[in-house]
Amino acid sequence: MNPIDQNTDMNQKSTSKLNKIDQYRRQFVGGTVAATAGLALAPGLLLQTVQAKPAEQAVSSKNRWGLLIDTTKCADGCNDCVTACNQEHGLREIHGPATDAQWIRTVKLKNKSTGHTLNMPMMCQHCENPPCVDVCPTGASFKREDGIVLVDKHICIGCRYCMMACPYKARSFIHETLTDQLPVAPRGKGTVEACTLCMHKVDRGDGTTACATACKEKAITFGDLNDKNSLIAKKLATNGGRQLRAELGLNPGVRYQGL
Amino acid sequence: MKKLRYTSIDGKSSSFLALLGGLGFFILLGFIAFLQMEHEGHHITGMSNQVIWGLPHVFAIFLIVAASGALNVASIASVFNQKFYKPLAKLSAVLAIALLVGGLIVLLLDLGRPDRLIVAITYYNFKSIFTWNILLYTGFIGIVGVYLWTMMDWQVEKYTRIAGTAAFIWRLILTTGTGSIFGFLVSRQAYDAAIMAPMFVIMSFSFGLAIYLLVLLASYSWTGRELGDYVVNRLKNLLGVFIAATLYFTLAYHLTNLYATEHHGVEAYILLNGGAITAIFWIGQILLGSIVPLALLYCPRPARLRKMTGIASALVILGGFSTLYVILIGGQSFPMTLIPGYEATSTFSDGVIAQYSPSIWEFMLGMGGVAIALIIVTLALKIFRLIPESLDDNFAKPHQS
Amino acid sequence: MNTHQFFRLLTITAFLLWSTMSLASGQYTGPDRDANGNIVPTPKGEKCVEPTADMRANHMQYLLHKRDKTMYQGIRSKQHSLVECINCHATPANDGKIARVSESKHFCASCHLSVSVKLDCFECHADRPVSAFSQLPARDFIALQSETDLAKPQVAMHREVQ
Repeated sequence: MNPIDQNTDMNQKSTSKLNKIDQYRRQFVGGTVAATAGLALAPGLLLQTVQAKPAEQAVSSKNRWGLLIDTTKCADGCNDCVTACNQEHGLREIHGPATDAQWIRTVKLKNKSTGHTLNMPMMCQHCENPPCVDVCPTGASFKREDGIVLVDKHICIGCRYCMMACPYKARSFIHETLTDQLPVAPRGKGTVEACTLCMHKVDRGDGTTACATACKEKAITFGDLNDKNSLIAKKLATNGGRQLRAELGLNPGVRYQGL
Repeated sequence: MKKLRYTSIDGKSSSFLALLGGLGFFILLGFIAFLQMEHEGHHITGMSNQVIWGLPHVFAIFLIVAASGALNVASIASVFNQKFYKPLAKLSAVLAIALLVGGLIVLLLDLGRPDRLIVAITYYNFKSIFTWNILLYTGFIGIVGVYLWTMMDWQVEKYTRIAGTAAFIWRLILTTGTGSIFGFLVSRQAYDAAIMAPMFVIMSFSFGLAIYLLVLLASYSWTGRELGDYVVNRLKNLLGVFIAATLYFTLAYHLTNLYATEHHGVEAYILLNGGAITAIFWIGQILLGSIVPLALLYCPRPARLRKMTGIASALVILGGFSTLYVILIGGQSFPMTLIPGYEATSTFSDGVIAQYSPSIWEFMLGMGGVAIALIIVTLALKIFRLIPESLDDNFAKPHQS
Repeated sequence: MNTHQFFRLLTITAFLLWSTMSLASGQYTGPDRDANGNIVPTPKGEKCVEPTADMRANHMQYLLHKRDKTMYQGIRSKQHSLVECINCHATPANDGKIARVSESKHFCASCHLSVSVKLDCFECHADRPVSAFSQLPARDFIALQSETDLAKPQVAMHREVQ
């Protein structure tokens, strides 16, 4: 059983298991937590009982992380997911919406003939065949084994061709010098960035993203698309979910219901 | 046909120094703009997360496209063995290299991290047309350099045709690659079209020859050398054909889009209600960039042939900038469709026309690239023996029959 | 430039390269002093993840290697992680606050400044330990929030429970 499976079916799990996950997390962020006593616990023990990905283990293509967004639950005027993402990654307002980075945004859609409206969050769709990765001259745009599409900012030269290629307008360019970036989200001038699907949270086994946690309506479900027993896979199997611009054949990891 | 004597220009006059000084001034301005953009970040430009590529890219792509076109005169001489063009070939090759260098520098200095040039030339993703372009551009400079050498050194002259053919094929691939930067973009309505590649090739013929003509007219007139009507006539007729061909491709591109309902939105934006973009398209690209030059070139008034040809060439260059502005800025500022049939609104300019007004820094950077290209040509004319002392009608006589 | 001038330039360049390299390879005047005799800030931990001499010579390789493993494979073990280096090597500046990379008391800067080797890690990465982000002024509430999340695991328990 993988960690996400565990986390999404949390209500069926004992509280002791929850505590163990948190122990694991405390272990991982040991450097930050004053409770150094926690360090005395053997990591091996924790790894056996909690099946979160051990820190030394590489991500694998057995997982395909994704999001399912239920647009019927997405409340008009609510911006909680955006705020949570900005807080999690230290995104701040600098020179206004034209040039500021936006990893997630809420989009309001209105049918031109019927007047039907719906709201939904938009972020990097973490495509299986990402155009941004295809066009990147240096290979800085890449897809991790577990399906998360990222920018290696160490080798990004800031040509912005990926932004031209992305059909979802998911990427932002850093237009100015940044200061006080967070340890979990290194970001810098002259490079391109986008939603990382909270990879730092995924890697430490949180089993969720900042936006999913923040959504009061539970409109966002994070999970493993490859794991048939995961909540996201079950929801998709029962109620289906559409891909945005599916005609492009990119197979995004983010799916939408209620479109 | 008398023997042609190739000489370098004197380059001692005060106007020559003034020319160098003027170009140097623009290069300095470009460098200041680069430092400013590098230090402040791109927020001081008009570019944003919506209009991602701006005026620097218009300049850079124009120069790169024109570079491959500038080589045409040489190609006609070496590949198609038209002896008449042979005396014009060296300048053509030098101009091609110069324009490409100018364009590449603008492209490079606009990068978010120009300090990582070493990354761009050590990490490659071969699925990216950009990667191929990096190789095509640098390779072009090398191949045209060798080609130029075969034209200038009698010991290797026998290889001119091989080198010229290689350079010609290379330049066709190069412009195909440049056009494919847009042709290969599935995301945006205005791009994702196979016609982009051949259209860029045709555009390069036209823009490159226009610049070549201006440089030729200027170098002969400013140095008091004789340039016969016959030479100007042949080249301006050729330019006319290229302008018409570019118009044809533009027509085919827009007709195809107009046939598909899916593209009506973007077509209406560019052709009808796009404000500045629409004006630049109709006035800059079509009227001043194509129709007027065609009229000037094909209604010859022999007494003012050079003047008309010069004006027409300048207009073609203006039209070239307009064309690329419409393709680049027009293509990007039109919103992408998220869900067909739905209008989108958000904090990230979904569903609205993105605003773009280029900043002075972008213009300075672009002009710096133009000045670099021109200063290379100017210095090359001074250092190397590139152009014949006279291209009067006597030289051309055997070809007139 | 004539041949003589060229070779003179070559010699100077070679000397500069050599002197930079020998500094980087750890030929220091003492364990806690840098090349100029400045005292190197003392870290919190008992000992470093690698021997001091090894770290002096090779820290950039370790960091680079780890960076790629984290970036591409999601491997987030503590060994050679830049965040962990900073967590341990944080030192107070004169004003008592944790030194920033622009100050000579910052562990990395203390050496990089005196040998004039450009340090661009912290244009993007945090130059202070994770714990410092709870002490930010109010305008940085965004950072504060994230630190709370990191330091108190129970916050994360409020994640989506279906």
